[in-house]
Amino acid sequence: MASETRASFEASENPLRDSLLAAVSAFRVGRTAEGSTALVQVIDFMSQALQALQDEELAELVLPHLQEILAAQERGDVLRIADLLEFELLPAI
Amino acid sequence: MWEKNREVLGNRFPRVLAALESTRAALGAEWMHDAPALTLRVNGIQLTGARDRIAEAREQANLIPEDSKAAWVYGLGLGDLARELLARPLLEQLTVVLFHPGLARVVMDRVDFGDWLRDERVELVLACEQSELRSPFAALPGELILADDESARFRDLVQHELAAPWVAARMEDRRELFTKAIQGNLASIVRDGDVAELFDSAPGETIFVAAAGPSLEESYELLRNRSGSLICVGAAMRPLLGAELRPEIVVSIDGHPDGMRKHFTADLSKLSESTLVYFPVIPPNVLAEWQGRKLVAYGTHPRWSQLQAEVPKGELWGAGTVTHVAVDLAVRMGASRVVLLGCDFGFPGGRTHARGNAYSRKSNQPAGVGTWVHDVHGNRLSTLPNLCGYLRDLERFIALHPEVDFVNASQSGARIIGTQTLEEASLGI
Repeated sequence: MASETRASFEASENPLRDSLLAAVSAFRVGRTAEGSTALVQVIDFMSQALQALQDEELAELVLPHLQEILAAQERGDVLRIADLLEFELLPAI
Repeated sequence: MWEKNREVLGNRFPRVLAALESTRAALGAEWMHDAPALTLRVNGIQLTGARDRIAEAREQANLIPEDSKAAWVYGLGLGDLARELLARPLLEQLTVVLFHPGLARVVMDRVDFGDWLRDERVELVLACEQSELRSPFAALPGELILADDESARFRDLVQHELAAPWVAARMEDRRELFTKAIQGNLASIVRDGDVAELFDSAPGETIFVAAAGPSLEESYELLRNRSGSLICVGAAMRPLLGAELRPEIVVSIDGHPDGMRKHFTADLSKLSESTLVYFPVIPPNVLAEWQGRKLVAYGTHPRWSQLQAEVPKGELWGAGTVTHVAVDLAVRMGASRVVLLGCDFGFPGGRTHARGNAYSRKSNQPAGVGTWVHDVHGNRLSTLPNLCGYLRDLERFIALHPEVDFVNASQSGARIIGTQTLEEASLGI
């Protein structure tokens, strides 16, 4: 990733990080509705960022995590979602 | 490890020990040996986080004020949250509620709980023996999801309470829409009658209350032969009309313009003798098209207070669903027996609504995954968290009205605690 692109992404990443941490926190204490709302925002922000950056390396890094998050959400595995967001997706972004 | 834990349980919590010894170990449980933090996974659901259990327990403990002398923990888990709270010197009493004895047995085969179970501040109890929530509390979300069948009702109460701040925030988001809707209906509020005109109008009678769940279709014959008024929610109106049934009262409380238009697109001339009871947030065009009597009702939430002071009207209780409002109306009318129809609180037959309802479709909720409630036969019925919350609130309402016999006519919807079956009520189909 070009350093300018990374810088511009980082400059706009607070909403993503905020939503991600809000989702993690809500899922860990059992506030699932709140977590799910924040997770929708995370996925929206991620989609926008991936489209804007056109960064294949980043896409390859985060898309498998997003797929796994959606699979965990489908089976209601909220703590797996929190683990994936906090320990896989957050470091990747 | 089980023998060590068993000894402590036997000395301090013999009821819990008896429950653990009389149950089978949870099926499908596997330890995640490769995880950075050892945890258990049961049928694809983690009991705790698998990366940093201590940080997770701290996050959960934050829900309990630091200076609390008593606290409740909803879930045994791997003991992390209990240990975290017991490290607080001000805490004098900690009640730990376990939701799955079979799962606890698997955990106690491997994890030593002796250190904290011996702590005299600890009380260990079973969720299936609890009736109402206690606060302050923190919960273990994994264990709530994995709760056994006997603990499901109490699990739902905990989850419902955990969702309450989110629900309140959504209500606050809609405050402006609420105010706008009231302003748009001011003339009708002043002109139309008061729901209180119906209060005590049917003392000792049987009143039938129809919601739009799929099982409503099972009850058309019963309704054709009914002796007593029929109240239906707006969403059940089209299915009933399709079955040539005419409700005496239709209740509508929803301000969603498209949704209401779909429910009320029908031959309303058939209901010209019927009464519409409405919260004055419903779309003005629905009000304009109704040909029969119209009576205004308010909710019991404080957001109605100002309007109540200015234009007083009767109040009806509801906690998020029009079904509550319709049931409360039946009770306020003086019914001694309320027969619930199509009050499914889930998706029997994999459908969302009775046929004829504009939103009737196949549920996209996979069977056996996610939120569930017991159906009338004791099987798990797929549902959504909000429907589950509505069910538990209705059960609380029923418990507050021992003077009324409630009958659940559904043969496939959710079991509603506090209701009789049709057979028990001698109301055969």
